[in-house]
Amino acid sequence: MVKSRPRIVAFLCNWCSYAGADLAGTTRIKHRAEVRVVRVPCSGRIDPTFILKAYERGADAVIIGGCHPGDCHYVSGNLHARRRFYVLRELLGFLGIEQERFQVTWCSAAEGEKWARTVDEVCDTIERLGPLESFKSMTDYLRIPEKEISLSDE
Amino acid sequence: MISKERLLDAIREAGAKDYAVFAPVAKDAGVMLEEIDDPASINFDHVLTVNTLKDVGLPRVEALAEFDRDARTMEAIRDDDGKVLVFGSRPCDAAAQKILDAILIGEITDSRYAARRERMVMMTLACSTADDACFCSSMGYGPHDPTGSDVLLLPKGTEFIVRSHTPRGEEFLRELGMTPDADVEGDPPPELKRKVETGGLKEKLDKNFDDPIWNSVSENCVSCGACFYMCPTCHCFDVIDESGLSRGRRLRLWDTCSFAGFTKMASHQPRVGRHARYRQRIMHKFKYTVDNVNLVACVGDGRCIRACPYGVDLCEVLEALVGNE
Amino acid sequence: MTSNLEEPLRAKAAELLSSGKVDLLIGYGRAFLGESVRPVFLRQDADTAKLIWNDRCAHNLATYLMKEPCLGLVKGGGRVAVVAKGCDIRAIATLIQENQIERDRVHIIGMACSGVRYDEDSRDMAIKCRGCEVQLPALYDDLIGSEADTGEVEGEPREDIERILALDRSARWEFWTRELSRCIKCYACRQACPMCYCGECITEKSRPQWIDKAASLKGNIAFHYIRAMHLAGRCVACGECARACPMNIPVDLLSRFLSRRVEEAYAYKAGMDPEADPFFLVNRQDDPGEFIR
Repeated sequence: MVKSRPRIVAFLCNWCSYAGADLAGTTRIKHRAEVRVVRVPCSGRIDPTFILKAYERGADAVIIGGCHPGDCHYVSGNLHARRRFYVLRELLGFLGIEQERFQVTWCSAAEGEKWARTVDEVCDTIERLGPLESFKSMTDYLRIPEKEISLSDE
Repeated sequence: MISKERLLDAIREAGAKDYAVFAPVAKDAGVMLEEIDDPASINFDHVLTVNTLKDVGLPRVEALAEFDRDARTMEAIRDDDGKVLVFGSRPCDAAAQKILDAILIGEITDSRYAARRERMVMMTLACSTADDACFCSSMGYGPHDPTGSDVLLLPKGTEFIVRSHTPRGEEFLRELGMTPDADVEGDPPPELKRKVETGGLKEKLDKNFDDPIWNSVSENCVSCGACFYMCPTCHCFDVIDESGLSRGRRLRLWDTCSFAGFTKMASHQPRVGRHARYRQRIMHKFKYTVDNVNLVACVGDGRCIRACPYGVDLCEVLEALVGNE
Repeated sequence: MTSNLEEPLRAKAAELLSSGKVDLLIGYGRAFLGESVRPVFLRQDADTAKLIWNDRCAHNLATYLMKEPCLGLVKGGGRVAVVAKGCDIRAIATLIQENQIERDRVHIIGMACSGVRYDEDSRDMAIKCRGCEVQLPALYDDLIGSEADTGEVEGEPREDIERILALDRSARWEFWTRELSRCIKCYACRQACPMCYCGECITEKSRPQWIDKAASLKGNIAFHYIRAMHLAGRCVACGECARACPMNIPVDLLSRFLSRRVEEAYAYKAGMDPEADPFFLVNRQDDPGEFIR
C-alpha cells in the first residue's frame, strides 16, 4: 500500500514569508514538496474561515507565515494575527483537533532556510500524526481524488 | 387489546420484515423520534418528541444529486429505501402529516416527499398525558384523534387498544398478525388546560394585513427559526450546491421566512422587520393554507410555544388577533 | 417566588416613563407557561404593573438593544431603559465598548441578583450563575436592591469546561460531533446572543459561501467554529445561546472557553469596563507568542 502523503496548505504574507519561500527556491534549498502556498497581503488578512476551509477540503495541516513583530508592512497586521491565532489554536485544541496541525511562523524575506526547515518539520510531524481523519468522513464527496494530486518523486 | 410486551414483539417483527422503524427514544436533546434497532429502547411516557415527523418525511438535509464539474456529470441521488414504520408518534404529529400531504401532494407534487409517504406506515400512540403547551383540541383534533394515523393505539391501563383507520393500516396489521379491536373503550383522553377560540380568525386575517397589532404580538420575537424548525407543518426549503473544487452535491435544506436572508436567491427578502416575518408565519398557517387547501396548518402540538426562548405564545397571539377590532 | 425588589422596580419604572426620561422600558413580565417569565415592552407608566422580578428572570434583555424597535428609537434620539442583571450589564458594556450604542441612550436599571433558574422544577440555580462575580452590578443608572439582596448561589460549582479539558483529543472530538450533529441551524443561539448583532451573518453570505448552509455535521461544526471565533473575548457568559437552543446543545461552551483563555492569557474580560478597548481591536508588543515558531 502506498503511504498517503501529507497535504499542507500555507498562507504566506506577501511581504515577508512569501518572499522567504521564494528565496528558498531561488537559492535552491531543498524542502518537502507537500506544501501548497497561498499568497495573502498580510497575516492579518487570514480569516479563521480560510483555515476551516483548508481542513474541510482535505488539508492535514495549515501553516501561517507572517512578518516578524515590528516588520509588518502595515505596521501591526501580524500583531492582530498573533492574537487571533492564539485564540484559534486554543479553539482547535478544545474541539479535539491536534494543535500541531496549525502552525504559525514568523519568517522574513531573508529566511529561506527557516522556511524550508519549517516545511520539513511540519511534514514530519504530520506524517507522524497521520491524516486529519476528523474532517475526512464528513467531506469525502468534496475531496479531490488522490490520483489528481499525485506528486512525482524526484 | 395488546400488551406492551407483545406490541414490542410486533415492532421487532416489522423490523424483521424489512421495515425501517422510527420510534421515540430518550436522547441528549430529550425524547427524539429516530430510527431504532431495538424496540426495547422505545420511550412511552413522554408528552411529545422534541423533533417532528419532518425528520422522516422532509429531512433537514436531503441530498438530491451529486455532480462533477470537470467531468460535466450530474446524477440524481435516488431515495428508494424500503418500507418505513413510524411507531409511537402522537396524534397531533400524525394530523400534521395529513396537512403536509395536502400541501405537498396534489396539483404540484413533491415527488420525493410523496414517494416517502407512500412507503410510510403510521402507528400512532394516543396521548395519556398533556402539558401546558398542548392545545390540539382547539385546532379540531384531540389527544385520541385518528387523523393521519394508519393504526391508532389507545391506552387502556397497561395495555393498548388497536384501531385501524386506513386500508394501509389494515394491511399492516394483517402482515403482523394483529387484529383490530372493535367496541372497546380506552382510557379517557387527558384534559387539556390550554384552549383557544379561533372562531372568526380567518375573516380577521383576510383584512388585517396592515394592522398595527402585528407589531405588538411580535415584539418579543428575535427572528430565530426555533418555532419554524420545531413545527410539524412548516415546510419551506432552500436548494443549494455544496461543492469542492469540482465535485459536490445538490442539497435541499430547511429554510424559514423568519430569517433575514430568506428568498434572497430571488433578489431579496420582501418582509422587512420581525413583525412582517412573524405575520407571514401566522398568515401562512391560518390564512394562505386555508385559501389553498382548505386546512389550517396548525395541529396545536404547542412545540412553537415550548421552543420559543422569549415566550412568544401562539395561543395568546391568536386570541389577540381574534379579539382585535 | 416573588422578590421584595418588585415594588421598588415598578416604582422606578413608573418614574422613568412618566417623567419622559425614557421612551421604552424593557423588563420581565409573566408568561403563560408554568411560572415562567418573558420579556415585556413598556411605553407608559400605567403598564408598569406588568413588571415582575423573581428568580425566573433569566433572559438577557440586552439582546433587544440591537433589534427594532430599540435601534430606530435610539437613532431618533430616544432613550431605552433595560432591566438588567450583572451579567446582562456586561453585555451592555460590551455593546458600548464596540460603539454599538451610546452610554446615554441606554438607561440601565441594575438588579441585585441572587441567581436565576431556568425551569420551575429545578431547585438549583442556573449553571451560569455559579461563581457569579457580578451579583451586584457595577455599571448602572439606577440600582434596585443592595448587597443584602444578593444571596449566595446554590448548587455544585460549574465545571463543564474542566470536564472537556480532562478528555483526550479524540474523546473531545467525539463529544463535539455528538453534540453538534443534532444542531438544526435554527440560529436561536445567534438571535438570542446580545453580541451577535451583525446585519448580515457570515452564515448568510453565499458569494463565496464560507460556512455551509446545511445542518449537516460539517456545516454545523463550521457554524459553531466561526461563532466561537467571533465571540472570543466578547462572550460575557450570559448563557442565552444555550438556553435558547431547542436541541439542548451546550453551545455556550466554546465561546465561554475562549473568553476564559483570553482572560488567562491577556488579563482581559469582556464587559467589565465600558471604556476599555475591545480585545481584538488592539494588540501589545508583549502579547503571548510562544506558539509561533
